[in-house]
Amino acid sequence: MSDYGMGDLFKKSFEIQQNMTKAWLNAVNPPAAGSSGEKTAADDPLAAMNKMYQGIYETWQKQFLDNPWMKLTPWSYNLFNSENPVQDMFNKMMNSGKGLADLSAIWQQLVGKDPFTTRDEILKFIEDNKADFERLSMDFINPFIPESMRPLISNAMDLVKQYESSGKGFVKPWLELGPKNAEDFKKLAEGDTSAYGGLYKNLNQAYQESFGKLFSAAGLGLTREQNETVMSQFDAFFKMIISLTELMSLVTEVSRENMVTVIETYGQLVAEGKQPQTLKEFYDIWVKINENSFVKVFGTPQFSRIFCDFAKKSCEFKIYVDKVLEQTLGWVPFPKNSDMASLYKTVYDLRKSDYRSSKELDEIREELASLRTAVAQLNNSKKGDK
Amino acid sequence: MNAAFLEKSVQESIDFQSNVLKGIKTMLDLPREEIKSDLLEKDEVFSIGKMRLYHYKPVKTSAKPVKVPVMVTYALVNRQYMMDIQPDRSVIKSFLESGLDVYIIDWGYPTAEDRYMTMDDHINWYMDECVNFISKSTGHKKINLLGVCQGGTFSTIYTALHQDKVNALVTMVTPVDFSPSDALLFAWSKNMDADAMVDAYGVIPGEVMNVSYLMLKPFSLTLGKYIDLASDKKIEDPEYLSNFLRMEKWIFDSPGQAGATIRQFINDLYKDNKLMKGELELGGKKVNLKNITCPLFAICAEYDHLVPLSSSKPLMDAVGSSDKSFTSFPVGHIGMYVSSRSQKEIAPQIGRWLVEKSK
Repeated sequence: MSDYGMGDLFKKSFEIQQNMTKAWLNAVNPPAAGSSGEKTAADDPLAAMNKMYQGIYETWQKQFLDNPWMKLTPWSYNLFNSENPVQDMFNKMMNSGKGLADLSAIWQQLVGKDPFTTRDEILKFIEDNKADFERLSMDFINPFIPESMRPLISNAMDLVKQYESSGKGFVKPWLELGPKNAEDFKKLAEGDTSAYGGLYKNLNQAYQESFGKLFSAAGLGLTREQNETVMSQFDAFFKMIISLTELMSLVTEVSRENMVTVIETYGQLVAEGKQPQTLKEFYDIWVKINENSFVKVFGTPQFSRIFCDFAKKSCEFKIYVDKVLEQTLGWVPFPKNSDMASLYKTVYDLRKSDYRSSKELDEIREELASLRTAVAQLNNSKKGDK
Repeated sequence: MNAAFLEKSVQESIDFQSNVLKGIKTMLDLPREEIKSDLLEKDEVFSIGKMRLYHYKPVKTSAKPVKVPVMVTYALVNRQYMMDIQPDRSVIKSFLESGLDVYIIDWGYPTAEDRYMTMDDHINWYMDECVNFISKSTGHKKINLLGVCQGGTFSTIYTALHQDKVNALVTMVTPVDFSPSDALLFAWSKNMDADAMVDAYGVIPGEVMNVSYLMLKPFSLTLGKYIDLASDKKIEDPEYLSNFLRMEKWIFDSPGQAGATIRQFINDLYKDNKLMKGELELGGKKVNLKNITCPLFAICAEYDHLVPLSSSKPLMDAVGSSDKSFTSFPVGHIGMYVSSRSQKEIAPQIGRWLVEKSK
């Protein structure tokens, strides 16, 4: 099949990238005296290139994958037709490429520099490059999250940041509930993120004892039932968010510790003169450490509890969403989920009844056939006697 | 910034992009027929609801035809065409080449109306009717059963309840003892609220099941697999790419799970381990594994991250059979069917065993 000039286009793109690299190499200059000191593309060409690659993948996703027109052109049929596994697989390759570009952004900060000597230095490095690490974490987490849930996840992450930044104003009411919360918040303020687990458990409890009661309260009036269902939906939503935040904070904490291990490992290799020479080699180290670590964490009772709790809260939220929808659409003249569920139950019971009846009939037929045979044998023997 | 490093990094990135684009070109040229599986000829001979029973047509082989038929039962959670994923990696083909007369159950894709289908329905209704059909059409009162993963659990339960209809039983990577927690699915299921999931969905979507499978190897199965593909020169090879795409298609082709069945499977088996304890009840009858007295061949995968050996092996001591064999291979759960070892060793060994027990 003709590639409609795509091959030439991308070949030119590679040539441009190589020429740009050569131009940068020839033009690298330190920042001028009196300048803001902010790095330009000339100062840090690799970082600039990386940003460009990250942009390429993101542009691809926004302009091509979400564009309905792309599905109409003949050459793009294989790529963009969702019925074709090629489209799905290509999308995954591009997403993975984005992850690789984001990992490259971190690796470039390490290459050519002296390895860190203390854990505090590594933690500071991670903090200074927080945005890059968060991007990388989301690259890993996104494939697990259905498309429709991604805004929910990013909302939960924002909520984590709000906990950090809104400080006393948000935490104050909860602090008053008991010294336990104050202690956890104090640990967090000192940078001890292991306090997240305890904090969210206590926040959950505090929520149950305050806002949770509000949303679970009995309603009044003609629309009492609908109001109670809507309030229950809010209640289920917030419980789900709290549970999700606990899950995300655990994953983030593990990712962070893994990155510390990756950087420590990298430092050891540099000291031995065996450091990775290519991004792929660095990626292999990164993926091995993360995979082993996450599989180990996933097998712990703590993770199992948190993960299953989130799954349960999500399902409970969905149940209330469905109930609210049904109540809202109660007046429209088409069957709802609960109507169909009742119908399906009836159909299922009828099918089972029909099956049992068929089996009984078969058994009766077999007995009849046996009886006929017995009667025929009896008659034959009587005739024989005569 | 080291200039040599800069040039090398840029070149590496360009090579990666170039590889991806070569892969796109190869994929654009791949006709859809190249990515198909399940190509062995077969006839649909029986059906109930969405379930279909297929009978494979014999293939050219020098092996003597085996008269006692074998019915293959796959798990509900994936599609059975894994066993015939492609012509040079087909366990079914190997069985046919051994002279076996093979039937296979295709459970289909459950929809909302199937939410009330129970384990009893799958085993004592659908499977039993299939066995009855095969018995009647072949004239053999007893047939052989071969169960894969959850399908093996179902076949084991069926044999315990209907031993008079089973000549021999083969279980492949089959969980029976759900008490271990050394596999992630087992660990998670202990805390999973199956009731909430079933009440929310009715039929649990396949995508939900897929998330938990991806989490078993979170990096390899998400980012890693595609980066490795895009970094490999083989991406230009249409045959290599079509093999990859076939596996991809199967991996993500997960049917929905009938609510009543998965509720009982998680609660009674994963959580309460009722099968091993002898407390599992189906259709008003207790399932007693000691009632299994036919020859048994249990096969496990030593690197199985889904069904650990500790879950499969206890079947050997739980059954009443005197003629029983256990073997394991150094493969993974999926490698049991698609690895080169599966073609050269595993499938032929199963074939020989079934031939021997069908005399």
